Amino acid sequence: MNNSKNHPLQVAIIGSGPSGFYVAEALLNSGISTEITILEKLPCPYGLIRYGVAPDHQKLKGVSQTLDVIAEHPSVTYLGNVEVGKDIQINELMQFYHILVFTTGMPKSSQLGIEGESLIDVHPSSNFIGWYNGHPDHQSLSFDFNNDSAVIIGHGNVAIDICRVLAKPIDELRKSDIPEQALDLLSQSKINHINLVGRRGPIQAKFTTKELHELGKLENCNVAIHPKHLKLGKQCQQELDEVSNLIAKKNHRVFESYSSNFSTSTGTDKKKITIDFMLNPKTFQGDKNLQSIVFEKTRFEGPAFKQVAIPSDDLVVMSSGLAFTCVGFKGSPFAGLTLDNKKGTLSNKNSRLINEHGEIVPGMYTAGWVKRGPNGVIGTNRECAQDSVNQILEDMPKYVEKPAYGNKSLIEHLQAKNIQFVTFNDWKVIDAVEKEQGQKLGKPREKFTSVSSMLACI
Amino acid sequence: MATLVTDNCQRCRFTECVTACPVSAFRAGEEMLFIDPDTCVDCGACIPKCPVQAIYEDLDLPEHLNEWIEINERRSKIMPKITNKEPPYVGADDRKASLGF
Repeated sequence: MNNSKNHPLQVAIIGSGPSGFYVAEALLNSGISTEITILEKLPCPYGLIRYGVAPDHQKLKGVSQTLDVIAEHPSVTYLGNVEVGKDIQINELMQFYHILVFTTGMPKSSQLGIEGESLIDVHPSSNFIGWYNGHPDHQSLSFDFNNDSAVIIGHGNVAIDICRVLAKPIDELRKSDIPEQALDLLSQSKINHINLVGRRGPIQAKFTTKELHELGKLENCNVAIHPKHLKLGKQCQQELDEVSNLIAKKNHRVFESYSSNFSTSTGTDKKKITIDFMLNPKTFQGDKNLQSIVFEKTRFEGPAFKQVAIPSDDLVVMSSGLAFTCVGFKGSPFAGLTLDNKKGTLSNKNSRLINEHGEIVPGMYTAGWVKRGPNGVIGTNRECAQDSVNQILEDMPKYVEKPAYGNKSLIEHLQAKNIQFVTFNDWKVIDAVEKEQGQKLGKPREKFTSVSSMLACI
Repeated sequence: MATLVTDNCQRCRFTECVTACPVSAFRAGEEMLFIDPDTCVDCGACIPKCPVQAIYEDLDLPEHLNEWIEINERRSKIMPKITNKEPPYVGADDRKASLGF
């Protein structure tokens, strides 16, 4: 495609997680004439690579090196510490750019919406993940690890990450990039039993096999499943037998090995991790602090792949003073854009943002979690971004007839408003200091956990 | 830890996997793809994309496919990068059916 007769397509991408970078990459690869600005609320880039991927999964965090190559492209400008909606408004950005792409992810946890959820020891996953990853928004939180047990609600990889951080020996965690302050608190943890609880059965669990398998490899831990959960009903067996359902088959083999641990899981010094199924959380009980969680046993209704877990009157009470809810995420709202309350996404038709009347808002697009919901792994967002860029390219001719001035205008505007933006070179300075501090402690990096401390070193 | 392409990809080469790779780790052989283990971050995004289930993590690689670890290591070093989807190998659909998918 060639838009050489027209003006370069000026694009602002809002949010510098993997999806933001992959939108930039797809635009660059399309061969059009384009200039791209990536805007980030925090000084530092990478979104969930830095603040969501578990700190003991450093290889996966290495994706940031691929993102660096995109950031360093001459047609890409990174501007951190600029919050859209606060430092600059959407309508102001639209004066400088042809197109805005929202890749703002899903920074908030979904709620269960049940009684007792606001007790202080019931933590949404995003708070704990943000805390142990050093996210500036979550550093004032505190967690009571003085309990001997913790309950994690939800059967996806987020639940497994939280479980692993709670169960892994502290000396192992010290090799990760968990900030020292969080490590200090985790080192005093008395938790020796963790329950991973889900509403549905083992065939429907959303864990990926690698993460599930890794749990069983933890030093000094015993992962157990009651064998009754692997006696499958007809519909579940049908789901397992379906040739394309590879993940259920692979997970099932791991579950079987954990079920053989069940009888040997008591009376040892090892920490115990129990994976429990078919339990729907009903209430969190306690005065101020959490004391127990009441679950309703569930049963399946409906055909294979469309089974619904129906709660019953049969209750199970789990005593615990610490709970984490990992039941999904939702996006942040922006003035003038519509957030789909059910899905937590920015309302869109095939990547094009729509207003509350369902009409397409010209020039505004989305990609990543905030477009499609919190599913998939990092690479899923590369595909998703490519799809969004295909829609942009289709619409492009109508935008580039008139010029826009992109980051040149934006930078003048930010300077006039005295907003201290962070360039990619500034970030590299922060990055180098973090790595240097980490090296002294024998870890990949020691993160700055406040915006002011990041800004202080540039 | 490694993620690798095995023989089901041979003469299928659907290339559905390459767009999902966040680090451009796929390498294009003539008849099949390979993964460069030094580039791959083991995120697993490609595994469910393969219509013939040719991609494995080594932790659940069937024993008879063990040789593919070394083949991926070796071939990925001499083959070019592939980052965008290409048309499948001629006759891929027949081969897919013969593999039981």
